[in-house]
Amino acid sequence: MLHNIIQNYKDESGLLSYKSKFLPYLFLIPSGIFLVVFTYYPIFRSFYLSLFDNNLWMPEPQYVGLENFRILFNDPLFMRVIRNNLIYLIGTIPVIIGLSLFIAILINEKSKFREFYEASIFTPTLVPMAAAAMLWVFIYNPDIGILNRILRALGISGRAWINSSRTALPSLMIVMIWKNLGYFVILFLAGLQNINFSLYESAKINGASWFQKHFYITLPLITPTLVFVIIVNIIESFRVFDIVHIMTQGGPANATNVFVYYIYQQTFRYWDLGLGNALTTILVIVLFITIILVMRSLSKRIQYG
Amino acid sequence: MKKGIVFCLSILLLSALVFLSPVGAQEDQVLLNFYYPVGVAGPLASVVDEMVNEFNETHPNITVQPVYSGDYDDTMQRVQTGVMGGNPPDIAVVEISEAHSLLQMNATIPLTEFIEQEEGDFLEPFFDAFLANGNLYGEQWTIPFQRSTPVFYYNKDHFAEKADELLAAGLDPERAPDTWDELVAYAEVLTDREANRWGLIIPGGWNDWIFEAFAYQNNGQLINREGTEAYFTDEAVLEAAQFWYDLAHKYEVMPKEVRTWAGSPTDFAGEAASMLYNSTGALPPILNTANFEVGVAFMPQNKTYGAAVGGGDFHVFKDIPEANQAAAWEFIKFMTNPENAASWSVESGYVAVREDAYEVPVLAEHVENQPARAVARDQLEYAYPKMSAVGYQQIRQILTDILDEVMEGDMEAETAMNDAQNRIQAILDRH
Repeated sequence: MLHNIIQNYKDESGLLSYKSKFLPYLFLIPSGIFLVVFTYYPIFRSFYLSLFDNNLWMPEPQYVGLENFRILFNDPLFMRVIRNNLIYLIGTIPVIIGLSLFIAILINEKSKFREFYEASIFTPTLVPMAAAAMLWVFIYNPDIGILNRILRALGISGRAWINSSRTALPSLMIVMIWKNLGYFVILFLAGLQNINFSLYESAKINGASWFQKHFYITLPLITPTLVFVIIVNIIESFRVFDIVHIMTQGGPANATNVFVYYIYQQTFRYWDLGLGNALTTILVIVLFITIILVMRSLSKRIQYG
Repeated sequence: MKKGIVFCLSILLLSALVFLSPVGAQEDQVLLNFYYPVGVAGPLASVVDEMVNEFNETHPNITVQPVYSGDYDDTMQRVQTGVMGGNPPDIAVVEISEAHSLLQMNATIPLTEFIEQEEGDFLEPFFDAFLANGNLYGEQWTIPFQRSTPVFYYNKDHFAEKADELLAAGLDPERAPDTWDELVAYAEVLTDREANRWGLIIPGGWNDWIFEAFAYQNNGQLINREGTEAYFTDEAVLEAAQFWYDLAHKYEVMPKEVRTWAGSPTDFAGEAASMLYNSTGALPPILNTANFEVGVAFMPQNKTYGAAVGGGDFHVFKDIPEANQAAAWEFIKFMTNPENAASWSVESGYVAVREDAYEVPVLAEHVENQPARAVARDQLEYAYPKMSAVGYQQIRQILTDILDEVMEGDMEAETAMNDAQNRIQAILDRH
């Protein structure tokens, strides 16, 4: 049946008929409905609700203009949350990208046991987040966890990891890097497959070193994948929630309280719907601007081999 | 082309069908939705299911659907969402400090009428300390179900191991510390850096609850019963905060990094610490995993023994049919009758909510075999209601964060308590 539709479409395509213009949109309707109902409408609704003082114990929400935003930008905890989120972003993205690209190049150059390496680096991605987080809760246990036991056996005094406000956030970052690395390795591997092998051969003939080869050929040609990976990573780092919820609940003393977790606390723990929606609106705007900036600055450099 | 449109429309139709699930209701049957949390370690959800099944079998006109709703916070969240969406549960077990919030939301009904219809004094057998949190504005709003107090756990093997040193310090290795001063003295002897062993753990997560006990032990109180005034800068509370700070940073007998609530029984059972403050509900998992003799005692006193009760109570909700409310009352009576209160206590480690449950053979025998079980019950004599106010979730979060910082040494006790006073009083004033 689908084949017939495509056939019809092809027959008439030369005429730019009403049907051929109309048909693609028809196909978009099902996913369009979901996007509008579950994404676009909530975004605007959330902005509207952010203009009200509204919690569970108020009989009627009260219009307060931008008061919720003023409260937030004077809230030391919100500043802490933003700082935590930026540390998380700056701490994880370069490591994930650098490591996964490096590993992908190594795997790509290695023809023996290639599948084995791919599979083993990808495994953590397959573990459900909740299970992985619980696993790391035990690994990180300061007294009886395996990590400190190993350290002690090596004569190094252990740390309190997620139980200390000094090390909790970096500890979560390590888990997320471990968890996500494999996924991006696979993405980069796919990108590397598209680079014409003859480029490397001519570079080799011209006497380029390993580093030169990859800096001048791989890096420029992998940019489309790179842009995608950076954007996905930025979105992911603002969205990080489950690991925090399971491993630290934002603690100790808010050391791991991040943007979405704070939204969750304000909205579903304290039922301050005005503040929760204001936070959501800020998040949408921040993400929107960041993504436009990244696209603009990197898309100019995209080269297609 | 027509085929194409039919195809697309059928996809649309299919996606629309996802939203329309059939709703079935039986006419002569009362169907009750029952939300309950599991607040301690252990397979308690299956125990609740068994009790509910027995109720359903013995009450042919009522069908209770038990809905496991996560921990206390998750359950409250679920209840609030239901109430806001006009679709409340019929019955829910909610953490006792939430009573003020539920009242303010106008979500629940008082049970006084049902109680008065019963023969005799229905509430008489229940422990007074357990009824207090649900007794607001002259009415009884809740019936206790899974109730606890924090208790003091200690590793008897560690005490025996260090018997000589304890005796040398003038301490009795055969018993637990009885006062705050003794707590420090015992903990100093028991802390063993080479064995990587702490004298004492006061876990985070619910450290607000443990802290409230310390305030009571010092003749203090955190928030008044009406939920309108905070007392964090009172001398008694300040002293308690200073004592916590000192345990970690002056005497260095407690980890400087806060251990998690759920993980601390494992730490204790894994011999990472010799003494532990935790809920009485942690007793079964500790007994199951510990390879040493576990001691349970009253929390040490300062000016007096003291504890805040904890746990969850039954609430009946407002915007449901009257027949459901009556059926809900039947269910509550069933779940808290002496036999069920006794078996629930045996399975869960919670304190049985009524005195006469301790005469039921299954619990009587159990207490005889495990005298530790009686400690929390006996401590009830010194137990007080748990702090409660509208917006309790936020108050609790602020307090646990601040206590975390005190235990980590990032904040002096006095600064911390001033901060707590300002922020928590602001929330109390807001409602």
